[in-house]
Amino acid sequence: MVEHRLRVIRIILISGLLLLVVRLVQLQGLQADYFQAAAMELLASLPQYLESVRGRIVDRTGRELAADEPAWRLGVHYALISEEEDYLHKLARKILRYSGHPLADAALVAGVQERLRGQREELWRFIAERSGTSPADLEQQRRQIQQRVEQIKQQVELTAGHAVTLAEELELHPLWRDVTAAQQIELQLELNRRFRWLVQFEAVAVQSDTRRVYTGGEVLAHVLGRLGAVTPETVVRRPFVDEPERMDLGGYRGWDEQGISGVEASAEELLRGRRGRVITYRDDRPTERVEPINGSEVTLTIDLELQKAIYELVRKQVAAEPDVPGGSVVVLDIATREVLALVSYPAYDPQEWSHDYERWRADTRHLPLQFRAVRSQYAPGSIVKPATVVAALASGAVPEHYQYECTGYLFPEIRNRWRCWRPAGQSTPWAHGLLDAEGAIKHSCNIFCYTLGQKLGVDGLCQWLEMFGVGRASGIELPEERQGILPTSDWLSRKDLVASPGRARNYAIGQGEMELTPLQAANLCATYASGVYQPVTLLRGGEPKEFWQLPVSPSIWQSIRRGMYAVVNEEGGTAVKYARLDHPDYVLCGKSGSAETSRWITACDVFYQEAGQQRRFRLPANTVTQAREEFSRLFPELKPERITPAAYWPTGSAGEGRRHSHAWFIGYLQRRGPNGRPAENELPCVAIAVLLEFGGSGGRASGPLCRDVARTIIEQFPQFLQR
Amino acid sequence: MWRNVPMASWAILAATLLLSVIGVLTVWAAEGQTHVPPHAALRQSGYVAAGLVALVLMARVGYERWGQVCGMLYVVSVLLLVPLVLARLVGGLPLINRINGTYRWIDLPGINLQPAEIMKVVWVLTLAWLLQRATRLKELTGLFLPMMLTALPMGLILLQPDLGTVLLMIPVWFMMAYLAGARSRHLLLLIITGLAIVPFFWFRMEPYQRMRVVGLVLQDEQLRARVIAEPEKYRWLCDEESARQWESGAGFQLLRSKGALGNGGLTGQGWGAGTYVQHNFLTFKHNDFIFSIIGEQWGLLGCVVVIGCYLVILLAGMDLAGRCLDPFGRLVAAGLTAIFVFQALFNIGMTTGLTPAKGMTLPLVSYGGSSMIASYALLGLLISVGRRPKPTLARPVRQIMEMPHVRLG
Repeated sequence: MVEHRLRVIRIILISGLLLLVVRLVQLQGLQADYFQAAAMELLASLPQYLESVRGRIVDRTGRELAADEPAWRLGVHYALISEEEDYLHKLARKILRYSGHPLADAALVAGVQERLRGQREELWRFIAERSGTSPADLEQQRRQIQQRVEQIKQQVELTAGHAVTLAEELELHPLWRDVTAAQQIELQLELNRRFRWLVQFEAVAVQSDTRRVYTGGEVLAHVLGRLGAVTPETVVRRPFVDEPERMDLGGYRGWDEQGISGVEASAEELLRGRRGRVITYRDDRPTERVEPINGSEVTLTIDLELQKAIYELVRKQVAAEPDVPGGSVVVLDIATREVLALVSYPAYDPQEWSHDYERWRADTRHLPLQFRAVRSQYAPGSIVKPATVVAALASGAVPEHYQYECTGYLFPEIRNRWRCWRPAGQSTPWAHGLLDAEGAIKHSCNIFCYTLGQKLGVDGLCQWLEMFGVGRASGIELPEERQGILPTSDWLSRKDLVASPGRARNYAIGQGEMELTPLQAANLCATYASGVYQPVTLLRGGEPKEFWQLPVSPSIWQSIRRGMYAVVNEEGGTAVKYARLDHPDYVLCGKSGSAETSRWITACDVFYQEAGQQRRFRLPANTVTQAREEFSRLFPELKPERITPAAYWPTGSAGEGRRHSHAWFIGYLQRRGPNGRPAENELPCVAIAVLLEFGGSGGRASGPLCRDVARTIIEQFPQFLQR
Repeated sequence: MWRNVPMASWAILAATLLLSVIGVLTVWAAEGQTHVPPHAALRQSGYVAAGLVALVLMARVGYERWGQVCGMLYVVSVLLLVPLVLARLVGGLPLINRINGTYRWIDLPGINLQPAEIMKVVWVLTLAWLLQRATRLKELTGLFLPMMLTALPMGLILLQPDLGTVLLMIPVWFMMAYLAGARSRHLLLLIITGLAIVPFFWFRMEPYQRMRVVGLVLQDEQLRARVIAEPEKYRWLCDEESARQWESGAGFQLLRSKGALGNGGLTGQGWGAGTYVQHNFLTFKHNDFIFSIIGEQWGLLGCVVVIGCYLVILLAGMDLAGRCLDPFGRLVAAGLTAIFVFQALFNIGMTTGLTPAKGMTLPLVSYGGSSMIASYALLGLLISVGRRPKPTLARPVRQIMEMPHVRLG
């Protein structure tokens, strides 16, 4: 029996050993290929990513406007930024192991962890002090990084359907950018000295980076825009992926920057490069290298020198006008609709953004951050009258040789409304007498246009104005652009307004709900001059855009162009005193406009209860809503009771019985024919639009500026006048 | 004296030395990497030399004399285990350090003493002595005393905690009881009772403890996919998160270990060559997971040689047991052989993903003084069972023992 039992035991143990052999045959025989390939993969290093350089932005002649230059940044591990305790615990254990205490007990680890916590707090103080930000701002910066990563995580988890760990949670995020070469050496040394362990275990590092330098400066600040931290949406839309199937090294990582305004934003795809990647192997395989691709260069149609010259002219004009807080000038090439200059005044110095942003934001009178040329909308006033005339004549609403006698009043029995305009210092309106189309434009006669508006009706007029580009995106490659307002009856009904004949009359003279941006005004002028509507272009090398010839007979165009010639060049024209350009070869034709408007609110009083007492706080704001938002941002714990406008601009009145108005002037430059008059068979070269906020009369305030711009182009930039 | 040594003992010695050489060479190849102590191969050679001395010593003294003092040895070994348990309760004592969350070693000058290793040998000796004297083995209640004898050291070892050694002792206890003459149906009853209370413990275990066992099952990628797809259905097994993170969590070490074995293929990458040998991808490669890099260096061939060595020791040990006329010696030989081979089985099973991962060395091969000397001592004791000169009896011992009126012990 013992023999038998020994045999049983022996058989059990032998079969155990045999089972192992079977398993080894499976692993080392059948699956060897798989495991051998896996072992080769293990020898690959973690990929190193090579940063690319963002493309330059240059003007039409190749002058540099924005470019990257080498800089450094201070990166801090996300787990430190988010103050994760587990990370400190692991770091403490790593440090102890590294310094020869592999079997450290919990108390020792906790002690080191406590010291690391102290180091972390010291690091925040250190960064705040060195980078010149306040500790509160730095704290907010950290919160923002955390929020961004959490939002990305949320989105990714939503699509994946399960919990994920983002690369962003395991990497360094910059807390201080734009460190200079001299600073970075000192910074590195000081970090090594004060935060030795954090540096050693790569919780903090000085990393190479690039810094965007805007050599275009103040004059192009709005146009070029700026870079900012990438938004979670962008990262989710196009994440950085390094997997064989769906590799996208050009995608965004959570600490990247992206263009958030101006050309930087609109040309983001072109300007942004693609990262490179290096994988090295620990055996004798060659290093795998994917070179980074730098961003492409983007060429603007703007001429830097022209832009500077015009900016200077605007600055002078604004300085001379006490009521004018700012203005805008746009110059277009009529044939190509390339934007030659896009001036918005006042602007800001882009290099000082982080420094002065709060101050600029609080300047509710000058609004230096407002991109007036494409973002501000104003009632067009009389500059829309040529379009009204074209609409009425070409649509057949009135016969082509329509005439009307202006007596100063549309309805002689109603003398306080529907009057013609009156110049400064005159108490009764003009009575222009019998006018045809040309004369109506020359005198900018309201009465003539009222009759046309009445005949066309709101929709009849709007249908034509739409063809002129009113209320239509101008085509410019800028995210800030607003497209103006074309108050069609649909639009009006959405606002609970009625498309009454009175509105049609008002729109015919460019008042009421209708609004244009200065850029749209310039393109409107180009359409007057060429008879063709064409979207404008800011970036060279884009797709050609759709354009159309307006269905208008040449004789109608001729009459409005003659009218615009007369405005500036004939006795009795509205701007002849201010805008006339005495030049042997070129003539400036134009149209003035004075768009009546209300004053701006520049500050509001917020009333609130504190400690049982009513208190008042005055803060800069352009609207009551803005004031409410700003107040709750500043004092989230207080609840405003009442907010009232406290200060206005302009401070004074516009004169007896008048309203303030924005001063428009649009004009185009044309070569003189043999008889000294414009060569009508030739396409004019450049269209100019000028707007001065609260400038009063368009002819008086903006006319001279337009003339000076025209003169500058003729004298200094003759290349824009040649075909 | 050499003439008294049977062939089987020489075979054991030969296999022992071959395994030691393979061990030293592999430790040498792994030298200079993280966690591998400096001059490990040299030290290991020293342990082998010390082991040989222990082997000769144990063999010369002989199992009979050890058996006479086994009661005292048992008490001393149990007393050696007590400070470890105390250390765990109070969180460390002088000379006793916490290593990987356990208290298993007493840090004596020159050597790290692992009392469980001593206990293993002493326990087999004592259990054999007790079984040989037990009179009521054929009754279920007669198994109570041998069980108690085992439960005391088992409990203490379990508290260190060292589940591996405990898992080793359980099958060996059954084998020895079986061999000593306990009824099969009683043993089966015990096994079935044991299995029946497993689910009770299963649902009281912490998830990470469960993962040690479940981790094995999760090797199957398709099963992992099913757990992730239908987490509700597999809740009893493991949660979705552990299945998802198996590759970087519970299964990480196993993946690496299998990777090393597979990378060896049929004939291996050669001594000191191979991804896992040369780089720090596999932890414990010089001790608990040494078999993986043996497999990488010498492939299936080398693995079969190692397993062959254990087979030789198994067959020779059982041969010694079979030839031994003294029932005590027979139980000692079979018990020692079983516990030795079981340890090898568990260790290789762990590196190949057949048994749960527990800290357990590959006897004679893994780096470590305590384990090495204990293994040599165990084999010395085993060899001594063969040393007994054949007594001259009128008829073959086998027939005497099977006579109905002869009562053993």
